[in-house]
Amino acid sequence: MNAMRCAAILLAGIFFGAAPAHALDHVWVVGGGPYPAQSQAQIEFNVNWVIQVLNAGAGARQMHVYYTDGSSPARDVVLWQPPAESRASLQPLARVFGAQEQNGERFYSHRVPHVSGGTEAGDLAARLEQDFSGLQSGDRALLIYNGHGWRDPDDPAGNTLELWNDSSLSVREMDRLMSHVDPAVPVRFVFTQCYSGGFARLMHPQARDTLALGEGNRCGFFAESEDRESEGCSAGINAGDYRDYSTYFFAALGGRTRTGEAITANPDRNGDNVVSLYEAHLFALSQAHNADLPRATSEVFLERWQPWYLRWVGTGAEPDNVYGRLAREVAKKNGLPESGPALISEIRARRNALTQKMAGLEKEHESLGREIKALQQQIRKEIGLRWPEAFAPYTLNFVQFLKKDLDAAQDFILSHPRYADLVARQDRRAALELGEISGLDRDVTQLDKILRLRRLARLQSQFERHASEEERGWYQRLQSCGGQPL
Amino acid sequence: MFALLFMPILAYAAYLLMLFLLDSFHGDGSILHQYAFGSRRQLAFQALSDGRQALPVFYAVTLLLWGELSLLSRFGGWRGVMPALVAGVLTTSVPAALLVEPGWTAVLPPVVAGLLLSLALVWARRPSGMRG
Repeated sequence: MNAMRCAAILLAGIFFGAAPAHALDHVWVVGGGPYPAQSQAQIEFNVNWVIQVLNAGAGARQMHVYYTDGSSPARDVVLWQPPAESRASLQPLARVFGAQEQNGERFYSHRVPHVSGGTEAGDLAARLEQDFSGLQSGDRALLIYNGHGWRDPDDPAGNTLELWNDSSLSVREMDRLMSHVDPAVPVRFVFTQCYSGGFARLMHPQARDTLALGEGNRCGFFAESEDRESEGCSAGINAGDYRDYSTYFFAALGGRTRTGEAITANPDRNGDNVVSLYEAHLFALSQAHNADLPRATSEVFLERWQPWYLRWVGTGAEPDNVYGRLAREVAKKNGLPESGPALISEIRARRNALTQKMAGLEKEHESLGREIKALQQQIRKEIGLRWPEAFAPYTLNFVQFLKKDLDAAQDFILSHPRYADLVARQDRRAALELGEISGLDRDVTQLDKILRLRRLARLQSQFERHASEEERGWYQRLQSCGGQPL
Repeated sequence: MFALLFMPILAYAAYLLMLFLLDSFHGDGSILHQYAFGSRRQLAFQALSDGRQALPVFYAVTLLLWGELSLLSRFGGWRGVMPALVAGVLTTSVPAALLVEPGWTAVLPPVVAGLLLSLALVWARRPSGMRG
């Protein structure tokens, strides 16, 4: 009975509910770093997880996956794990010569399935141009990038994706590629790299700094602004804690966290039983405790729209709209008053305290760096008197040193009276970088996020009151593009 | 002439100062926050871009006030500082409440700028025998 019912629903879907026969959802997943040492395993894990979420999502979609060197078997991903503190792992020698972090790296060929090609800029651009030109009215496009980005300090449209073999693709080049898409096709994009906000310019004609939208139906979501690094490009990248924008964004779309547990907050804000990309973005805004201040094209549009006579006016106002409610949620989650002057004064006090604490930790970090350098120099000097070959890596002498004298040299290091000091200081410095400083950065970002959400709430309220019909039309276009599900 | 040329710029500066004070003591402190923790370059570009759009409006308001004070001066009882201040307040507060926002935080900065302009215009229009 159940099988018959399923078949009937399926047939009904095919004959009545489905989009036109040729219509198809296309998803481009582009990922990886510019070279092996910068192609962290976290990016690979993210891309594989995103693919899983997409495959598990409702409806059929054609996937186009581009990753680092494509299907080449060369090792293109780096995984970092804390190396064992033993002679066998060479960690004593690595600590003295300042390579204790690289010593935990392992390179392997990526395990991303069904890769269509590599991400070297020239090849990728040619493939995207071809793919984009083939899209027809009724299709939908989604481009997801997970990797590194770079910033043009003079022009956000010059911000780039850092692609394989140290190549890059700028916002303007991406705009040129997207101009091959039929304007009727909605093109959604999710950029999670550092300085990703520069790609919000894709909504404007020729990625120019104007308010008007371009001909194409484009909208997107970004981990960060055009001038800030995102989580995952900072020191935390090796820590293995998955707190980046895509982790929350795709958890909302998939209904499950990275570890497979059901998400605790409901991302379906409008209660239509479908989670749109915009709702996933709002979920990331409310749930993420990371160092990102994510944004959507519709939000960037509001910021660009604000006229001079509304700027800085009534900054204490608290409109009750989606961003106002989000601001209250984030404030509550962080143990702050939800609104009013008490919230602002508590934010100021907490930010001051955190900033002072951060300054103290950064001072300690700097001082540890100097102490570590002095200790390394002292131990190295004594090694140099006994095994001068140890100072000439990439030579035959060094190979001889490794063969004959490595054990003796490492025994010498381990028994050196200052070695324990060196280890303690290096470990403390690493803990500061990966734990305490990153943690404080995340705490500070939550405060900034509340202020940003309050600002967006005021902006949306001002927009509803002051925007022209044409401006409302543009905003509506961005909202309806981003309001679509996967 | 001096007043007509430079007062709109000073009035705009007073308007910005009022916005800053209101934002700092009665708002989220967005200006200081962006200056201290955000992009100062972006803040500077924004200020320049806003200034380019705002100054023509401040010049227009100055001309309007000049015209209003000239008209008022034709009536014997409508000369002097008080009528000028009333004209300054009405000329700036009504459009601000209607076109920006009806709240006092939106109205106060343009009113302060309008008062400053009125005082400067009264000073500029005083009889030549009274000039220092």
